[in-house]
Amino acid sequence: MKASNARDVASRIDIRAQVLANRPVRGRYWRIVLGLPRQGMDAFARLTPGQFILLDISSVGLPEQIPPELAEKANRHILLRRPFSPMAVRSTATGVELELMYKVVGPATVRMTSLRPGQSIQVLGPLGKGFSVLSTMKKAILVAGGIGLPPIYHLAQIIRSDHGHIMVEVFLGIRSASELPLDLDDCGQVDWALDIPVHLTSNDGGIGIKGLITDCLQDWLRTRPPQDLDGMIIFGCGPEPMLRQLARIASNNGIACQISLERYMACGTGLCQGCVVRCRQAGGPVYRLCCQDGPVFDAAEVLFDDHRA
Amino acid sequence: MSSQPEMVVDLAGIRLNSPVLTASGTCGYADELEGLLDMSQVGGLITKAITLLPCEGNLPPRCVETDAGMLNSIGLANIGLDRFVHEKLPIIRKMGIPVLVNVAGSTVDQYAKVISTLAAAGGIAGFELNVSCPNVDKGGISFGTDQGMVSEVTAAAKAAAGGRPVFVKLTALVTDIVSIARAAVEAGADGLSLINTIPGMAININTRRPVLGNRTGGLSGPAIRPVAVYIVDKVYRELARDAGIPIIGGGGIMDAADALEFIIAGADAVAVGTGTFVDPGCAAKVARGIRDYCVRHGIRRIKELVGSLC
Repeated sequence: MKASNARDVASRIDIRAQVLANRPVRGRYWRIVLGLPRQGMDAFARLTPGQFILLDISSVGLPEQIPPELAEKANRHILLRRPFSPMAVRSTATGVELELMYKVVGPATVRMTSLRPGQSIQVLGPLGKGFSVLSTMKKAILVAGGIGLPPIYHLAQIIRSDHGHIMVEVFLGIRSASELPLDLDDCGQVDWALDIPVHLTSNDGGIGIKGLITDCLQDWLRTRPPQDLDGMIIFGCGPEPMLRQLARIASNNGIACQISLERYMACGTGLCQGCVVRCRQAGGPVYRLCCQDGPVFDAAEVLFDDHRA
Repeated sequence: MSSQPEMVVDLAGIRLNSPVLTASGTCGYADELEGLLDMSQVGGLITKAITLLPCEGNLPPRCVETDAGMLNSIGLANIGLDRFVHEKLPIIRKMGIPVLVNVAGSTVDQYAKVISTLAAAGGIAGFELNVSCPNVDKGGISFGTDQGMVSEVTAAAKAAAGGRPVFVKLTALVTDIVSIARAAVEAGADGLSLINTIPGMAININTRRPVLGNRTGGLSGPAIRPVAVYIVDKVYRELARDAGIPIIGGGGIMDAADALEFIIAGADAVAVGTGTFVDPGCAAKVARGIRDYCVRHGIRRIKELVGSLC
């Protein structure tokens, strides 16, 4: 599972991308499509699910409409780039398209809503280590919480296209119906567009099953015959309490589990050493870098209590 | 066609092809920016702080963005002297660009040991003494705010450096920066590096806890630039100019105009820090911008600009 660091470093690139589309999905979720020119093709076409890019939003202006609850925050100066794991990567005749999903939560994401097709934005990537899909895997359980969805969505596509023998099941947890980051089809069902079963929970029960997605997963696992767990793997991305619970569920059931973590990061390239994740190691716990060693980690490796004994 | 301005800087005997360096703690062990930063534009690199023993650093969260800047409390996380010598020095030797090693410790002996080992190993252009890190309990800023300690560490470092230049990186958080700088110079410092991050703190008002795991951190970025320019101007006028001591100026440099402020105030070279986090190619962009400025203003040598404040 160790990625070759040398190759990763050589393939990253800092490049100007064109905004091709930028639209609200629902609630505070938006999708933006960025077009990378030919120079970026080799690097970005190889972006694996769970890897991330950094966007320079420092020179992006404020939109006309700002959610009232963000009005004060929105005026803050943006300095550092912001990390995003794409939800889709498409190769086209002229380059590569990256599709990102973002949730408007602060000054940077508010500014992103002002981007219009034709404008450009600086993109650094691909960065970090993504999810690792092995041919020995038989069933992939994809678990996403809220804005943790994009890399999971990307992973679902890659498994479908490149690993047809792996069965896929998706678990998506959201706060409420208004926070569903996906479109609904005519029947009011989540339009995953990939023909993959989706288990949906919401905290308020306004859509899907009421409750936490991790409880839903646990209930579902209980109904599985033991042989079903053979060759099963859980891939997760979402809030840290969800990931911690996923790690527990995986461990209790003897299922492999890879999770994508989020940390404040300044550089995204290992320079600042700011984004550390406490990990188990034979000689005692060590800090690993979310930006380089992750953001995807083996769940069994992560120590969720970040304070030292 | 006018000839290109002379950008070469003699920094206490270190020949820099451009006055722009990358600041300690923002360019890793020197090789991490490969492919993202045009090294031909950069004068040199200053590694993250190296300590005698490996250091795992502070509790996370270790960094957070603030208005026009960021706070960090990395806590000198590094692989330690042995691994640095075996894993990083061979790479640095091949880079073909001057590399200064930033050195930190919690005792004077530790500084001396790291420096003497590196001096003997070779491949290093010079040293930068970190007596100004705000994020460690011992050494760091507690040394840099005490004239006696600055003097002692500098003298020990100089004795261990085998003739290689020693720069002392100071904190702005002192009552009288000139007396601290003078202590370093009188103890044998070949140059001064001004300034380190400024202690700062951010609080999450919902949890009423400090945002950083270490409670406090060091503020960097554009927010501290006026403070840094002030310190460079003051130290240059009151000490460095007459003593003939070069200054590496830095603090929130994002573009050439920022860097030129430091040079005009009296810095022979500048260090780009947080700017590299925002744009990994920042130092090269700054160097090109300085060259363009020289062309536009008829400056033949960058040296003419140093301390040219009217």
